[in-house]
Parts: sequence; C-alpha cells; structure tokens
Amino acid sequence: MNKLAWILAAFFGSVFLGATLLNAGLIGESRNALAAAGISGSERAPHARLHLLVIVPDSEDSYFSHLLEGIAAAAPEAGAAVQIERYPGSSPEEAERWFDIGVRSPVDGIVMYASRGDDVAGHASLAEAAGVVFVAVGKEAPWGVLPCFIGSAPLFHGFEGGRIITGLLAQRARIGVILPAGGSGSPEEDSLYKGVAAAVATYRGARIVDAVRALPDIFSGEAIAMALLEENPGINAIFCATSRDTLGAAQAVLDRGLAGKVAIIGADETPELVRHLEGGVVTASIVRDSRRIGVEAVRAFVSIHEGYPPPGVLELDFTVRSGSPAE
Amino acid sequence: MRRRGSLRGKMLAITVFLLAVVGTATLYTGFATAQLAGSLGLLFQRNQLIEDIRTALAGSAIALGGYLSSRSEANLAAFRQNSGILRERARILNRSVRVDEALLLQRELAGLVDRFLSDADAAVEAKSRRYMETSSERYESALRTAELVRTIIERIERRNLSASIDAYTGLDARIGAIVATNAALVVAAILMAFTVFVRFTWAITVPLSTLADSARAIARGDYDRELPSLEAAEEIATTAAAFENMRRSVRAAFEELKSKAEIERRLIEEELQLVDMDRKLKDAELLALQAQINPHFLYNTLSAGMQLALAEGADRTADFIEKLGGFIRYALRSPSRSVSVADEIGCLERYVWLLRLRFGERFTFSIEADPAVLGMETPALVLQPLVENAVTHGLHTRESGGSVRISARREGAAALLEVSDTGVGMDAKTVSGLLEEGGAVERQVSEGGIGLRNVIRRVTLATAGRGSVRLVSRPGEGTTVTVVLPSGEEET
Repeated sequence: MNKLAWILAAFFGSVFLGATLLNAGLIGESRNALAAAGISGSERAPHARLHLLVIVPDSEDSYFSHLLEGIAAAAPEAGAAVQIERYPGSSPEEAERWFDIGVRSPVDGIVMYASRGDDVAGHASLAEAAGVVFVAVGKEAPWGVLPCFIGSAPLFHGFEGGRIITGLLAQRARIGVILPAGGSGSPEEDSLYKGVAAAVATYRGARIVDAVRALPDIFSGEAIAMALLEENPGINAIFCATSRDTLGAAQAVLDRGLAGKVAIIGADETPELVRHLEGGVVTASIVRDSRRIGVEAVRAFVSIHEGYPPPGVLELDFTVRSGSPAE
Repeated sequence: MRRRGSLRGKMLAITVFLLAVVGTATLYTGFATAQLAGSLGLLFQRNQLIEDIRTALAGSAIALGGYLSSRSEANLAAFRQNSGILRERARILNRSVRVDEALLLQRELAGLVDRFLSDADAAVEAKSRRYMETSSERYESALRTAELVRTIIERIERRNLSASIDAYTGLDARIGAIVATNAALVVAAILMAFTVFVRFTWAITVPLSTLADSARAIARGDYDRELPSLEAAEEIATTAAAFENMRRSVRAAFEELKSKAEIERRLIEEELQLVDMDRKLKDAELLALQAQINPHFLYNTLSAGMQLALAEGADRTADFIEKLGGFIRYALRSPSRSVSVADEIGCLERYVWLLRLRFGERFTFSIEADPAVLGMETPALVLQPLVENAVTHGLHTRESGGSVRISARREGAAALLEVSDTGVGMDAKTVSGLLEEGGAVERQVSEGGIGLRNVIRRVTLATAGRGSVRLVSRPGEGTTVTVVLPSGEEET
C-alpha cells in the first residue's frame, strides 16, 4: 500500500508537471505568435545594424525568388535587417511609392528591381540626396549613367539562346522570341533579342520569325506561345526570357502536341521547369544566377554605406541547363 | 511501536499539501486562462495607436491646410494639438533596426511621421515669415508624406490582418491541446492529492483500526492477543503503548487469580479426598466391628475344633485349626491398629504355614527378619495382602518353582518390609496403574484381596504420609513390593 501509493503519487505528480509544462509551452507559443502578429512585432527579434528596403515585382518568376534568397542569405553577414516590399508588375507607381517611403523615412539602403526603361539614375540621385544607399538589380541594365546596377547580361543571354537553337536546328531554325514583360521600346531594341539575332545571323537561312513582349499576367507566356504557333506554323523553336514564360510556352507546345517538335529555350530554373527539362518538353534553360545577384546587391549596399564608391554596372554570368547531355 | 511525528502535525501537513497542490493547479489554470485572454488582446493591442496616428495625421493635415490658406488661429491650434498627439504617439513606435518586418514597418512609420511633422512645422514657420514658396513646398512635401504614411499604415494593417488570421488559426489549432493539458493537469493534481491523502489516511487509520481490534479482543476476554507492532503518529503510539501496558497488567492480574483458584481447587480436592478416606476408614471400621461379632464365635468354634482334634489324636488337624484360628483372630482385629513388626511377622508365618499346606511343594516361601526392626511399629496386615497378591497374581500361572521371599530389615531410621516373588512380573504401565488412584486397585478389591492400594493407603494414613510403598517389577522377572516405615523416634 505504502509503496504503491508513493509510486502513484510520483506518477500523477509527473503527469501534473508534464501537463503544466506542456500547457505553459502551448500558451507561450500562442502568446508569441499573437504578439508577433500584432504591430508590436516579436520581442525576441534580434537587432541589426542597417535597415535595407528591397522593392521587387510580385512575380512568379523564379528569378525573383532566387534574388530574394540571395539577399536574405547575405543580410545577416552584412548586419542588415531586410524589409521586402512586392508590388504588382502592372503597378509600377507602387514601386515608386515604396521608394519614396524608403527615402523619406529614411532607411539605410534600397535595393530595387529596375527594368530597362526605368529612371534608375534619377532614383539613385534622390536616394543619395536623402543619404540612402540605392542599388538597382535587374535582368538588363537600364540606360543612362548607373552608379550601381547588378544584373545579368541580356545580350549574352540572348546570344546563348540563339546559339543553342542554331546548334540544334542550324539553317532550319525558325524562332519565336518571347521577351520579358516590363521593358520598353520595340523588341528589336531589346538586348535579349539582339543577342538571339546575333547568334542566328551566323546561320544562313535560320531566322527569327516573330518576337513579342510578354505581359505581366501569369498566363501571358502560354497565350503568346499559342499565338506564335498558330500564326507561324513554321516555328520550330521558341526563346523565352523568364521561367514563367518558359512554363507557359511548354504548356502551349504540349497542348498542341508539338512536344519534341518545337524546341523551347527557357530561362532560369524552377522545379516545374526542371521537370519539363527532364521530360524533354523544354530543350534547355539559361539560368541566370539571380541568387548571386541578390548576394552582390547586399554586398554593394554595405560597401557604399561604408563609404566606398559605387561599383557601377555589374553583370553576372549564367549557366545552361539542358534536358539531355547530347543537347 | 515506532513513533512518526504527531497526529496533529501529520493532518496539518496533509491539509497544507492538498491545499498547495489543488491551489497550484487552480491558480495555474486561472493564470493560463488570463494569459490566453491577454494573448488575444495582444492582437489588437496597438491598433489603437495606429488609429490615433491616422486620426491625428488627418487632423494635422486638414488643420495645416486650413491654417496655410486662412492663417486661422483655430486651425493653427488644431494643428498644434494634432501634431502634438502625433508626436506623442510616434514616440511609442519602434525606431531601432530589428530583424522583424513589423518592427521595420514601425520604424518607417516613425520616420515618415517625423518627416511629416518636420515639413508641416517648416510650412507653418515659412508661412509665418511669409515665405510663401517655401511654405507651399514644405506643405506639398508634408501632404506627400501623409499619403505615404497612409500607405504604410495600410501595409501594416494588411500585414496585421494576415498575421492575425494566421496567429488566430494557430491558436485555434492549439486551443484543444491547451484545454486538454489544462484538464490533464487538474485531474493529475487531484489524483496526486487523492493518492497522498489516502496514503496518509491509511497511515493514520490502520494503527487505530488495529488498536480497535485489540480492544474488541479484550472485550471478548482475549487477553493473550498482543498488540502488533505499529508505525503510528505520536498520539496513537502513546495510546497504543498505554493500551498494551493495560492489557499486560490485566492479563497478569487474571493469571494470579487463576493460579489462586487452582490452588484453592487443589486444596478443596485434597480436603475432599481426606474426607473420603476418613469415610472409607469409618466404613471399614464399621465392617470390621460387624465382623468382630462373628469372628469371636468363629474363633471359639475353631478352639473347640482344635480341642476335639487333640482329643481324637489328630495333631496335624489340631495344628491347622490352631494356625487358622490364630490368623483369623489377628486378621479380624481393627486393621487401622499399629502392631510390632514381630507380630506382623508372626501373623505372616501362620499365613505362610497355611499356604504351604495348600500349595505343598509347588511354591517355596522364606521369611527373614532383622531383629533390629522387630520392635518397630507397623500398620497391621500390610504384609499378608502383599503375599496373597504374590501368590494369586504373581505365581498363579506357575505349576512349580515359584518362590516368595519376605524380609524385614532396617535401613537408616526406617524399617523396610519387603515381599518379592519370582512370578510373571508386570510392565511399567501396569505398575504405574497400580500405584495410581482407582483403576487396578478397585479391580483387586473386586477380586477378593485387600489389594496394594489398600496397603498404600493404610501405610500413608498410619505414618501421616511419611511412609511409602515402592513397587519394582519387570515382566517375567517377578515383583518386589517394599513398605518403607519411618521409625517412631523420627516421628516424635
């Protein structure tokens, strides 16, 4: 009786203690979650040295997700707390509003996505006036004098795409080009187009049949590819400048039963795109190292903040991912 | 009996423990509920702050516009009031750089409010100095900043709404587990308290129950039941020890009473035995008296027979009648009288003469008497029954060769009268049976002899218990009966 009573008491005591601790843990977890949800934020959030505002389009393109990954990875080392603001691709004025917030509040630095026609120099000038470091990132360096732009080289990107296509199809190549949304000017003025054209020019008979600029919406790539294939039945290769447009083109090719008959040269790398590469729907993908662009953007921000001169335009290299080694 | 603290202390400890456990569980449950309620409040804790900023900002902007367009003092006062509120509220916002989106948004909001106030104050200042262009520029800047503040507030509220929904969904998912663990801890606390309560109650009541059992046993008269060893509280242990002492005392008193009663019973028994002996003696004396009437006639008749035998020249018959008459005259006198050993031997010689006449050469008899004992006293007729027993029971199965030896000798101050035979003998059980009261003795009497027991009784009575009769016998080797008679000197 005596021993059993103590064993039972110890057991129930342990249950009591365990349940109390578990309960306290659950309540603490709920409190933290609720506290973090409010505007007061998490009390346990670590302090940082610099406030970096990142303004990018709200896009499905893996280019941006990898870009943000790179920024997030480099931020702790730089002692930066990153605030990411996404704006709809169709609403560039919102990007401007966030830029203005960053300048007026002010933050320590702004990393902003810039398209070819954007007034990056003007942004840089305003930011500098407010004592805010400004770093532009993008796929193609905008015109004008740029104190700090980090991106890929679209001319080489396009040239590599054209080279792959002509390598496959030679003079038979009939190419449809889907240029990225957001650009300005005629397609022929786009660096990507120019790169493809330069590569195609080396094969007599090979040619670009049509070039269309994509729209910001998610189905734009598929719609454009479908239109290209309908209007130009002779097209046997499609060059896409973004992962989103590549997936759209792949879907259009599959829908029309042209998989394997129409070569798709895509851009960047997402799990779905890789699946299409492995399935042979997409012939190859030119992967821009947007993650590295993000890392370099943070490094440039810190460097400028510490008083070093801006690096100017920094265009990073790309890699080609193909569906089969033979290609 | 092990003493383990006081009963009061134990009960106090149990009560404190139970209250502590149940109180802790209750308090914790209340605390947890308050924490949960407080957590929900956190969701909306600073919404009021945002609302205040929004309102004060709008009020400031309107008042500023009013003042700049009309220079109205009322608008200026309204601006001052609202900008004061705005400044005060903005002071609460986070201004440090933290790795947390909400805190970074707060920091931006704080910066924008500062910028708004700076532009607004500058616009007022420029207006007061009539720098209209500057005033207008700063006013426009302030309006733009106000617009951005609204953007950021919207962003904060969107984020809050989304995060709050997520947090509330998480809380909703956890609420079941929180309630379950709350219930579990309360149940576990109750069970733990109950177990400890039962344990202590048991520890207190078991010794009491044992004590009650012992009390009941004593009430039934069972004073031999000892109180088992108990581990009890001090008060119970003291009570139990006192109880055990009481039981032992009562038991000792009863033992003493019992012992006295036994002694009394024995005394009464012995007294009754003496009364019975006295009665038997008197009966025997009466019988003897009754028999003395006829013996005189018998003796006189035998004397006449002897005279007749002598007259007719039948000397042997005359001897027989003389010996028989002499033996009868000795035997018919009071058996409780004392005689000399010489008289007892003389009687026995006559009896042996008669036996020799009866058995001829079949048995041999010898009589040896130490002269030193012939003068000593002995109860009458103690040897004759022994010789008769020797012949009747010891030698009766022998056709010839049996012998009976009678001796009288002195041993120290005592006279030893001994009858030995070479008969069948007896086993130890029979011997002890003969020496006991009743049994074989009665059987002997019924068989016609006076019997060994009669001899023992008469020797005991005659010597006041100082004399004794010893019986030594072995099967097939014969029997020796020795009458030990103390000397008269010793008696005196």
